[in-house]
Amino acid sequence: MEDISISIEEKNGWSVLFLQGRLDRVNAEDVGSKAEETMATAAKMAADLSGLEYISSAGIRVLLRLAKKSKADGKEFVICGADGFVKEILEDSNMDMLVTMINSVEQLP
Amino acid sequence: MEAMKLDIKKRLFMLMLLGSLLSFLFLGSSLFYGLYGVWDSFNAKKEEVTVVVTDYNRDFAKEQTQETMDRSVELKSETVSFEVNAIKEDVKYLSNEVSEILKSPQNYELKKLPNAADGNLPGGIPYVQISPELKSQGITPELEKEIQLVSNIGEQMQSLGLYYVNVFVASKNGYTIYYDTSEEKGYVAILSREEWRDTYDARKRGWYTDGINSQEPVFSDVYTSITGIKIISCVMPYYDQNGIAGVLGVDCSPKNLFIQEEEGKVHESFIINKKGVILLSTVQKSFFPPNKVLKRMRQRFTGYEKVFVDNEEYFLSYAPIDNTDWCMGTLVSKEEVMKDAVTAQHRMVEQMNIFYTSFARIILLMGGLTIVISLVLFSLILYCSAKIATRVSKPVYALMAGADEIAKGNFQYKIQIHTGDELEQLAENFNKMTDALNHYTQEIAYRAKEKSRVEAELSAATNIQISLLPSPLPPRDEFSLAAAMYTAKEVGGDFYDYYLIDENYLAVTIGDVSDKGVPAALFMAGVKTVIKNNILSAMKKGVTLEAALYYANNQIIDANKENYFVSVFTGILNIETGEFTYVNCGHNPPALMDGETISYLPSFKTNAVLGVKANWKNTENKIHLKQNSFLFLYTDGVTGALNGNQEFFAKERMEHVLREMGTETAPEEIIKGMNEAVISHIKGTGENVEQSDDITMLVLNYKGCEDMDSEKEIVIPAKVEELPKIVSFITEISRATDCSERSINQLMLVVEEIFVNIAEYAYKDKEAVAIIKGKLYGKPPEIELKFIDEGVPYNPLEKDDPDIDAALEDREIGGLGIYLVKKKVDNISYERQGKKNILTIRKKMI
Repeated sequence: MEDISISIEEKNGWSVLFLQGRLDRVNAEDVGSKAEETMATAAKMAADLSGLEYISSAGIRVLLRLAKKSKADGKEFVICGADGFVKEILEDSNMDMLVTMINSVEQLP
Repeated sequence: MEAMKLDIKKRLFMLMLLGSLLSFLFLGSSLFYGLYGVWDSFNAKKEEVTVVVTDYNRDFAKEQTQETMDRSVELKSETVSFEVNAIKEDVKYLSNEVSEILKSPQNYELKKLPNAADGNLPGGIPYVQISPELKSQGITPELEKEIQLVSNIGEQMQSLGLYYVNVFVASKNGYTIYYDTSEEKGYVAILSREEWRDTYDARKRGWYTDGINSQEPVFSDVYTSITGIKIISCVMPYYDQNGIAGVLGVDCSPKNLFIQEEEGKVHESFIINKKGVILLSTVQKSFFPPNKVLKRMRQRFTGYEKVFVDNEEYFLSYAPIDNTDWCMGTLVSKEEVMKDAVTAQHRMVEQMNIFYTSFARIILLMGGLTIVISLVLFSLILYCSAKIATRVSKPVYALMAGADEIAKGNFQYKIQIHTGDELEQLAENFNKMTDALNHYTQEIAYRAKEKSRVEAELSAATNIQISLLPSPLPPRDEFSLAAAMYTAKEVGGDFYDYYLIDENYLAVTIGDVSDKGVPAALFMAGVKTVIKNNILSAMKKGVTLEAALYYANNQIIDANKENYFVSVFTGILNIETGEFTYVNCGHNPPALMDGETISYLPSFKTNAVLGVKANWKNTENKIHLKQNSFLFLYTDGVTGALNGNQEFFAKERMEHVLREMGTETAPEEIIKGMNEAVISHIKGTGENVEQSDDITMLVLNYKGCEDMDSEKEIVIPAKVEELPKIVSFITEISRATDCSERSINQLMLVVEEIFVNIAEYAYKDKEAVAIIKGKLYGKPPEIELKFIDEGVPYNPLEKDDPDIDAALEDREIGGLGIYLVKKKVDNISYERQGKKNILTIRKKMI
């Protein structure tokens, strides 16, 4: 996992997944499994994409799976800090219509 | 008409005559041939039949003769045998009687018979004759008594009758009792005749010796008697107590032994005895059987031979005679035998001749009859042929006369034919034609007036058309361009146009209005102006080419009162980058020649001709012209050119000409060469075919700028893990530009999605490679990437986009990659080349 770093921190009852670097087809599976582990134990989950420079459809699929799982489990899932190219691709994929998107992790309730 | 060698009537006549004569000749000649054949074979057979019948007759006659002769000789020999037997019986009887008298003298009275010594006794009475020897010895009383006793036999001698010539009993004692059977008046009994009465001694005769030496009756040879006649004697001894007492016998005429000849049949017969001496013969000629035959006869054979008598051919049949040692022979001359055969033959020939004559008469009659019938038939054929020829040709003459009338200009003339056949039909058509001619001559007069007006109009149209063509552009290094229009006689609606929009953009247009003539030419002029204006203003405003065409279409429709439509191809070349943006509105797709490869610029099916449908959007395409590639724009006049055989010039010939000239030829030369090829195709069939449509061409040779980048390429295993290497490859290409981070990320996404797609699906777990070729163009820089793999055929563009509007629970996880790719590129196209999937994308790097 050269191009990406993942960290998880708890914040006001939210488990926040912080991704930094490029999320592509090569590292998407590892990121996905890590995120789903976190989701399993979390009560509410947020993905902080403010450090992400690049995302491809493989990354969108990871986020989509998390969103589906949270809905199935009745948990809250929020995407924070998506910007620039990443925001463009999320919007192209209509993710903004499916998942609550906020500008910053600071805005989490 | 005078030039005609034979008119239709004569031809018909000759034809019918010829047909009839041929069949007639055929029938007639076979009939004649048949008759001749019968006659010929009959002639040949006639001789043959005669010969066969004659031969048969001869053979039959011979056979018949042999049979008859065999039977005859047998019959005769039997007869002779019977006679001989009878004679022998008579002699035996006489011998018994005399012996009885001598042995039993007490039973008989003495009887005194006349004595020959008394002289000249009559015939028919037995008498006694005394031999000179006895007379000189003297007759003892015992002898006298014996003589008188033996004289009793006189009665039996007489009873033997007239059959014999003489009957006699001669005693060893020297007396003879003699009986001459002849009762003729004046006949003198032989032994009473003066010369014999005192000299005759029976014991000295030959037959007496024969008789003594035999116990049975025996025949002498035929001999001449003392009276000079031929006789044959049958003798035997008689006895007393002491033995042989004398010899007695009969003389008979040899004739008695033969039965009377049958009437008409001349069979000559003879009898020979054991010694081979002829006893009896009726044969007149000096005949004696040849030794060979004689031998067989003496050996008592029965037979049939051919013999010669006095050099004449005879048939001899012979058979032994029973009770004797004789043999009977019968002769018949060949002439006699053949007489019947010859007669039969003559009759046959005669009959044949009669038959032949009557047959010849029949043949001649038939031949004559055939000729007569032939002549009658021939006359009939002549008559009928002439009649029918006249009948058939009459309406044709009427038609001819009618045609003459019409030729003279009399269109009022009506042909009257009522044959009820095709000729009547023809006449009706003729009449219709004259009506039509009448009508047309009036029309032509009217049209002639119109013509001069139209011609003037056409030349005006041509002038309009030609005056509208653009002047040549000043020469440039980056491209060269040539265009030409070769107008047909009739004014067409073709046009072309080219102009520099600014230093970097060149516009080219070619089009074809749906009609010809002045109004169409005026319409075309309007179209050309409208398009040019819209393109120029669009470029100024920075609007797309397709938008310019959209407006132009609406303006054309506003002005289109005549309901024309126009096919237009127009494109703008970015001289610096080679990018060529074009819109094809229902026009022939231009050919793109790149080296040896010729392709046609693709277009959208939804694009349509201008001037028909308002607010219609024709979509634009973009391609990159490679260095030294040629664009060949043309109208229907090229591919649609027809020759006399109704063959189109067609794309294939056009491509052939383009390849022949190649990319080294200047655009002007290409246009000239193509025009020559088209014209020679049209005239090629040698007929007087005219070019029917304008031939309009525009050739653009893009030479390109010197600083254009060359292509980069990476060949890489089709595995997801190789993605970082591709990222480096793309980074390297895009480094040359100073484009935004966003564009680079977009490009990265595009590359990743397409490559992952190939890695995961193209090869189905097999190890293989993918090729990516990359190239940058002009300013603003544009990147072209080609993704090539040899996996299963797969066109990702055909895949439906995912439903991104679905609710979260229904939203599909996959399918997003290609969707995003399509959103992020300016152009994407897929083609399958052989085993290769080639996906090409173009993206402006801004």
